[in-house]
Amino acid sequence: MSNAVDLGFFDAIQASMENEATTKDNIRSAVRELDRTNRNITAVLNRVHSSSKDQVPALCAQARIYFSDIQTHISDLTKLVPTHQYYKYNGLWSGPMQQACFLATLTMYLEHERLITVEELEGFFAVKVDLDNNITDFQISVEEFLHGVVSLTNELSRLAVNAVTSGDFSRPVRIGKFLKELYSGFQLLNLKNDSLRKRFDGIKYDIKKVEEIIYDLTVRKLIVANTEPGQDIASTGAEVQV
Amino acid sequence: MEDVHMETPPTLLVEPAESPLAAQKHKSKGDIIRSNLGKSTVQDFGYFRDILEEHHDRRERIIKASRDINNFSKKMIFALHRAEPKDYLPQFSATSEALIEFKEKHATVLKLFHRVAIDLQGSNYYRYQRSVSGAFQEYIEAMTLEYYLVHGKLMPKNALEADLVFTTTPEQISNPDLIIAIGQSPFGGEGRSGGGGGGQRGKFNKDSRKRPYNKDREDAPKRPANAIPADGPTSQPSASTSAADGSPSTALISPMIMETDQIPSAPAAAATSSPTVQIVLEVTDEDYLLGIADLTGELMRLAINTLGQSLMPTLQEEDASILSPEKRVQHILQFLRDIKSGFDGLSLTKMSPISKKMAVLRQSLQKIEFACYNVKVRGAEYPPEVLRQMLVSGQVLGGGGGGGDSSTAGNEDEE
Repeated sequence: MSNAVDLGFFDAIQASMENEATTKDNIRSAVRELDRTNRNITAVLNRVHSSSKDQVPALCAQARIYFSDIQTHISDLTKLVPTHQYYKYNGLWSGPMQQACFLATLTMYLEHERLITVEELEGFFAVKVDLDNNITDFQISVEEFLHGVVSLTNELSRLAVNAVTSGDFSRPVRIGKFLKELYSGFQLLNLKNDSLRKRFDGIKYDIKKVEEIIYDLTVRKLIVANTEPGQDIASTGAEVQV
Repeated sequence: MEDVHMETPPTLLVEPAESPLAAQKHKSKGDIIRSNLGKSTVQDFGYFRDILEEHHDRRERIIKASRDINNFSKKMIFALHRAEPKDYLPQFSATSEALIEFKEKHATVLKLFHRVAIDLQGSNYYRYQRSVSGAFQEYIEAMTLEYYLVHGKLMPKNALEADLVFTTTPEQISNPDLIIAIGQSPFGGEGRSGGGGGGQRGKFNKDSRKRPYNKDREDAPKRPANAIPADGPTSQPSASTSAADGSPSTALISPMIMETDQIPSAPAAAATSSPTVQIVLEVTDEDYLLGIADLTGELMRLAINTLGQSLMPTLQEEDASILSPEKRVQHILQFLRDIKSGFDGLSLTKMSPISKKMAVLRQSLQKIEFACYNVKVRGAEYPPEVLRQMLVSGQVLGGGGGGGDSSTAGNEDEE
């Protein structure tokens, strides 16, 4: 064999590929833990659909206990990602991270009926959100957060249905107002043809669903007293007829 | 938490006097946004839009530059195929038209890489890796082919990376068009790239390449030792800026790089006295391997052409230092077989893009082997000129087993 090709180099590459595979495996198992806790929280928060409104704070408190576990999992994950290689492995945890963002966002909404702030989100996970567009250490990307917000709109449209069933007629109106605010926020984004764009396109169906609920309630004079008269009902009614 | 030396933040580490300012300026951007968030949903989303837009714009820029790199790299390869064997000898390389073209294109490609490197710092390297990967592969294909033609060896990865160290001025970072404008005529940017030493890198590089080409290359593997400390071939690649090691100024480090191939630009850098940054663009193992896999396709073409030449007695080289075409084909064959055994040693998953290219490699190798076989067997039956025609048109290659040779060769060109 001639010495034109340095076979030692291929050995080195083999070694580095094995290293990478190990890193990936470690990250995967950390992400699995995160995913498990996510599901625990989801199970707790799912009960909001079948609970009366005075039970909600207790549910949120219960969910919040799990978030300390999430912090632990994320900090484990943080240690596994080599500096500057965040995006190399990002795909491994992006999904569960979006779900975690959604759960934090939902908890916050149920407690305060408003959108979580970036600062609060950072508080939930003890990790910063990447506002610099330049991730040095492990951070939550803005996209992941926004994915979580889109999931929230979906969940809230379902909550609006179930709130009516359990006799809470004012919640759908508040949800409708909140969703419209979110939608106008999302409209500011110049989204490319990516996954966020596709999910954003789905928000309008969530809004439509909530509008239909409000319409139903209004037509039957079930919520007149609870809302400020005028524009809200008029506009939702108009849109539903379209 | 490997590669400790990467711990320098991706903010541009300029020379000490400058760095607090630059770091502060960069850091505060996110902090300013953070302090303004939470006032209203709509306002928050306005900030999110800006963040997302910056990301999309950057990716767009990278994709554009990558396309240009791809284009020029292909032209580099064509130029190499046009050159004759003797052109690669040191005494002829400066006058060979094909090689001059190669060098010009190479200088342009380096500028494009310089430009793209600014957008690929820190974690952004992997963020946009998929967008530049193709450009890297094509470039590696061109460079390894040239290296083989000059040295008869596989170009080591660190020699490739040695070319991808860029001296950059702050002006170039704020306005990358100073390096080279993308999507324009090859040398349009050159006139405007005055001032910064780094911007002229490509230009001087080109000049330097007119000096004995091989000599320049022999130095190459030593260079990265200066620029990328403690960086073995197995280390995880990333684009990073390395500061001047806390030494008083870049005046110390820049000439160190320039000594080898940029002597003319040293005074220029001193004259401007603006602080410069070293931007290092690393090559991932995967891109390197994929580039080599593509190289095998070019080697196949080269071997077939050389085999054709062996049948043209008038073209036999008289220079003793050039191997006969037969020997050259044998050398290429051996080279390909060595590469193949290197690849065969890797344990790859089926999903790996490298696995797919392995099939192409095997095909290329078999094609050359079969062509050699045919020349041997039918050599006595046809006059050389006819045989050569058959060879070039692919008739001898197909034999019946291979089939559709010209079309597969075409496919390889696409990559």
